[in-house]
Parts: sequence; structure tokens; C-alpha cells
Amino acid sequence: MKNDCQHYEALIADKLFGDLGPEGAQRLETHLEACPACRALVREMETTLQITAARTRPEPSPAYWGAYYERLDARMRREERRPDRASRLADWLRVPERLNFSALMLAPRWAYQLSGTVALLAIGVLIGWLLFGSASTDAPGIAEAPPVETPVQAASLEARADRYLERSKVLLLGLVNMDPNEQGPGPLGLASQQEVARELIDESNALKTTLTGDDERLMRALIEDLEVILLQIANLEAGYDLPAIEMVQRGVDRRAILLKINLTEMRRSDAALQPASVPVIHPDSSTF
Amino acid sequence: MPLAETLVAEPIQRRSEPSTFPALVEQYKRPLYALAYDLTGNHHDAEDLSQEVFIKAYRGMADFRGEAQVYSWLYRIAVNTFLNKRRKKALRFRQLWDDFSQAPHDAERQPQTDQQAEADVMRRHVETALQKLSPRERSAFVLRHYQDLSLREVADAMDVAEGTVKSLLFRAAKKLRTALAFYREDLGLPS
Ligand SMILES: [Zn+2]
Repeated sequence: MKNDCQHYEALIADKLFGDLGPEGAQRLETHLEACPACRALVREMETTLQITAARTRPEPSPAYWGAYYERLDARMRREERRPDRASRLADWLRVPERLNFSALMLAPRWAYQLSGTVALLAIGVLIGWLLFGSASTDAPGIAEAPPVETPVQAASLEARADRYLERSKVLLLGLVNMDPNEQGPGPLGLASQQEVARELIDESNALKTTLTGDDERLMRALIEDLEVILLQIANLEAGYDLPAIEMVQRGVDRRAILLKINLTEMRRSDAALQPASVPVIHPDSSTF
Repeated sequence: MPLAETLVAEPIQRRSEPSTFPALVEQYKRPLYALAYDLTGNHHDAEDLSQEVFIKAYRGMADFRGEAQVYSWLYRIAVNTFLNKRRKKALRFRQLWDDFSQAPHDAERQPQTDQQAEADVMRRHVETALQKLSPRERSAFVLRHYQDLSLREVADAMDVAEGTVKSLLFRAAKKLRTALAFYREDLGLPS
């Protein structure tokens, strides 16, 4: 009976696409044995799906893929009607005051190509220097953030948010590159990272209550994401608990936190800086 | 500690998700293009749709809450963009024209072996059949059948219940069966 057959459509779909459980299989089988129409239908559908599965997509040329980002970049600039802007590709590699961050962001890539120990040592020195400042530089150390209780001045708010992002990024980079088996005392030790995490949690709270504008929605969302991770870091047990650290590393990964920080920084610099004052690396050095 | 041991520990440092926008594009441009190609059925719209997804991802990063993987978030944007887009008649006409004129989207036309020519003909048959599905049927079918998303993931990407996905899949398979009936006969398969 036609009406009855309709009740088996979901089960037939399950069967065709590999989602049929044993109980459903039993029910469907019983119906198919009694119903030649559905039996024929299922067989034909199965054959049809085999045909569609054998189809291949035309693969665009390597030249197409090579220029994909440039075309996307050009379109984004066109749509934002900002033809005077330097290439967005170059924006991603802009140099903050103290250090070429792009080198740091690319660090994991070359790190994998070197022996793990050497690479991590190099990253560790870099990160330690960034997090805790260095005696040999007269630039203010990032760790010397003003106390949270200080009323946030409108003028310093931007700088404070920027520094918050920068420190968070450095902390997370250190964490995702951290090998718990290789831990030792020093600026990269877990205890030091947790201290920074706790400072950043305080800073999260201060910034969240201050950044209330509509255009700060993205920043607030990012801070909320970051807080989850920062709390996890702060609450890690001493003694380098491998599964717990891996869990935090996965959390950073799953939430795409580093991508979000980079996006937010990029947008903030778009909004705040004059095009001429954005230090950029020459686009030639920015090929991927 | 011997060097080998430090190398064994390496995989946990490897991050699977990209951390910059260009890296995001680099990692997902091929799968997104493939999805967009399956949805739209031609190269021009596939480029257009896949780019639009990246632009929306760039602008809407705040909406990515980390409950899902990055790829399923991107797929969701792709399907929503595809479904919300009113396909212009001109575009539809061009798709049909492509089908009939056999204009190659493949950049270079090289002399083909018989096997390649056969695969090409089959591709056109299948893609023409896919165009006979409604946008929602095609979305469900492409995500489950070609992109290998689970039923749950398809439902999430399309913002519908799993039961709805099943009924879209059933209708898609039924329509394809009719559209490709001649093909099954040609191959001497049950029809
Ligand atoms: Zn039946």
C-alpha cells in the first residue's frame, strides 16, 4: 500500500547513506521482503548512488590555486572600498613595536622542521623575553601591566587592549608548543605561565566591563573565549599533568583562538591606524 | 635523553587548526571550492561562493564559538550562503549553456584518452542530474554523499532536524534515480 511505503522513506535514506542501525535494518528488511515496489526502488537508488560516487570533479590548475588568495584579497579590498589600503596580506605580517610577530606566528611551522629540542629552545627564549621583558631593553616589559584597579583612561584603553591580545597570544603560543616531557625551571615553566594567565584573567574582567561599545562585540566575544582557556591554564595542577595540558592545547585549537586573536588585531589596526603609519613587511616576503 | 625520544613527543605540538587568515584560506580553499562546485555545478560560481565564505568567516569570526570544528563552521556558512542566494536567471542560463556547449571549465584542454573522455561525459551527466535537485536537496546530498559529513553535521550545517535531512536525502536519491535512469540502462545495471 502506497501510504504505508512512505513510512519507510527515512529508513531507506538511512540504508542508502550508511546510517541504518540494526533495529531499523530489521524493520526495513521485513517491509522490503513484502513490497516489490520498494525493493526495486532501493536497488535502483543504490545503483544510482554508485554512479554518482564514481564521478570526478574537474581540478583547477596549480596556477588557479596559487593566485586564489590574491584574488580573494583583491575582492575583499574592493568590497570594502578601500583601494588605498596596503595589501591585506601584508597587514597580516605587520610589525608591532618590539618584534616581528609574524616570525613568531610562523614559528610552529619551521619548528616542526627542526629537531624539536632546538626549535623549542629558540621559541622558549623568544617567548620568555616577550612575556617577562628583558634587562637589556629599555622598552617597558609586557609583564609590567598597570594594576587592574587603575581606572581605565579612554586614551590608554586601546593600547591596553592591544597589549592584552599580544600577551595572550604569546602565552598561548608558548602553551601550544609546550612539551610537558621537556619541562624544566625557567621563564617558560608552567608556574610562570600560570602567573601570567592569572594576570590576564584580571585584565579580561577589566576590559570586558570597559569595552561596552557595539563595535567591540568581536573583542568581547574573543575575551570570553580567552577567559575559558586562561582559567584552564591557571587551574592546571602543578607537576605538568600531560593530559590536562593536552586538553588545554586542544581547547586553543578547537576554538581557533589564535586565529581569532590575529583577526581581531588585524581589525583593530585597520580601525585605529592611518594607512601610512602601518609598518608592513614588503609583500614579496609574504608568500605562503 | 636520546634524541629519538624527544621526536616521539612531537605530535602533541602539532596544531591542526590554522592561526592566521591566510593560513585558514590555504587550509580550506580546496575543500570549500569542492563543496561550492558540487553545490553550484560550475567553476565560476564555485569560485564566487567559496570566496564569499571566506569573507563571511573573516567578518564573522566572533560567531565562531568553538563548539564545532572550523571546517564544519565554514561548511555551515557555505550552505547558508548558497541557500540564501537568489540564483540569478543569467547564471542559470550560463550553467545550461555550459552543459550544452561543453565549454570546459578545466583550464587547459589537453588531448584526452578514451578513459578521460568517458569520465568527462559521466561527470557532465551526473552534474546535470544534480542540477535537477532543489537547492536544499542538493545541499543535503552533497554534504552527506560527497563531503562525507555525518547526518548530525549535515543537520547542523543546514539548520534543520535530522529527520528533515533524511527526507531530503530520500527525495534527492529518488530524483537522481530518474535523471540517471538512461545511464543505468546503458551500463546494463538494474533499472
Ligand atoms: Zn513499500
